[in-house]
Amino acid sequence: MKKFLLSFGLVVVFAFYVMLSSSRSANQPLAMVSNVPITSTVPIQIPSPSPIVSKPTASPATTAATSNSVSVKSAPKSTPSISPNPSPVVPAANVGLYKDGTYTSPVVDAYYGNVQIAINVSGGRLTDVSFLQYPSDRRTSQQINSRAMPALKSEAIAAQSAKVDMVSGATATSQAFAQSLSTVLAQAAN
Amino acid sequence: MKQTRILMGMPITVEIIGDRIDSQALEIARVFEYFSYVDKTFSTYKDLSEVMKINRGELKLENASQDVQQIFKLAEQTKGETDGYFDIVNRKGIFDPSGIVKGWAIRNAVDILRRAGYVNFYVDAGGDIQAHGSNREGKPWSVGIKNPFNQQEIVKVIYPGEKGVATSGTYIRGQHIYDPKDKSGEITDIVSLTVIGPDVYEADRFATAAFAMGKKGIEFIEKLPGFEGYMIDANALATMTTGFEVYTERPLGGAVFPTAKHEGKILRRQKGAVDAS
Repeated sequence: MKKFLLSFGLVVVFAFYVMLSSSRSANQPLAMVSNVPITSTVPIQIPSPSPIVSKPTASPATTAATSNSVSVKSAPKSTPSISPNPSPVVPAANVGLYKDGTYTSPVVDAYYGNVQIAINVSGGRLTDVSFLQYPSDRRTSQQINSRAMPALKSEAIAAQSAKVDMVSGATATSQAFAQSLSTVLAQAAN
Repeated sequence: MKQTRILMGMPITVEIIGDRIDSQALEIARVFEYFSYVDKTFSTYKDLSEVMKINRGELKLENASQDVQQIFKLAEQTKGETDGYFDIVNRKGIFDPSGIVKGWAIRNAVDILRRAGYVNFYVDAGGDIQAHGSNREGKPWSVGIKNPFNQQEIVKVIYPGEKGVATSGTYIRGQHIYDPKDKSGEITDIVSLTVIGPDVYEADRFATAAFAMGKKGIEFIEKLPGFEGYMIDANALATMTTGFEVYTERPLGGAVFPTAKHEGKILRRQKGAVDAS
């Protein structure tokens, strides 16, 4: 019976979400970052073992059946508040067009912590990228993440001292990386 | 012998262990030559590449070289297998096959060395890797997963044996990666996704596609038989597939490789996005 109620709740939440997003998208360009809440249906399925929670969020399991719209709105939303004017994507080929200097990106609120990077431009070329801030509130993050992906094991990353033969990671020259730099590179553009 | 060159806009390293130093140098040179052929053919920066000719309408696909036709076919196949998340047509409407060419080229480079009779070697192109045999100490090759927040650090050590390893990623939270399936314009908050697959071509194409899926990407990998993944999100939190940890334990001896161990894992062919419910 409880399962049935929960499933019914999910259907209602989803229907509500579809209605909400279609009414929004009617008068909004699709590519824009809208404020439509990203509904996470997963929290309902997991009775969280109530670790230390700083926010007094109502337990989704108990409220889902009675107040769907409320649980939609209060669902943990990891969408960050992005800097107000997303700059256009800067292709990697343009990297040589920048003024020398060190540039610091705005602090981007990642909801559970802030992210900020700095870049260094020398001889018109991007020479260094470093992280000034990144979220480190592991306990909160852990909890949020375990809700989002119940079946899979999670862990906070930690630096390893082991010596290895090779390293796998996204290359700094990849297109995705070039895109990610767009905010700071816009500051440095001639 | 170990050599690194910058080709296709990334460092490519080839290491061969063992004797025959002279022939090793020759063979490594052949591998680099192969990569520069691939670059010339598939580059989206070089005006004379076949891909650019196709993009300008100067070359029809049916008149293109066999390799180009094969890549377009493989890209089409991958698009189908990832429910459209993998697409070589970029947002400007031009063909950019680089997402599939890299892994394919590494796999072919590995075959060059294998055919030449080498047993212990690896090819690493921009962090996408396939190894063979064992390392200088006769131990299994080890691969570190780079910390997306600090490029000097590694956060995990894996022993992939002869499987392929590829990482898709971006280094900052707040990047504008749009999920092509999500009209609400959700921004993904994944910074790194490492995939272990049957070979580096397979690992690379599915890492690329799964990364575009955002948080759902790791679930996609979980359901893909023969693949494991390690995803790092913007909160510096990693999520791994159920069989991933098999690869974090060093196998005994040099020639022992992890074998398929997907018992208990859902061997359902995954098509399409994973529904959160």
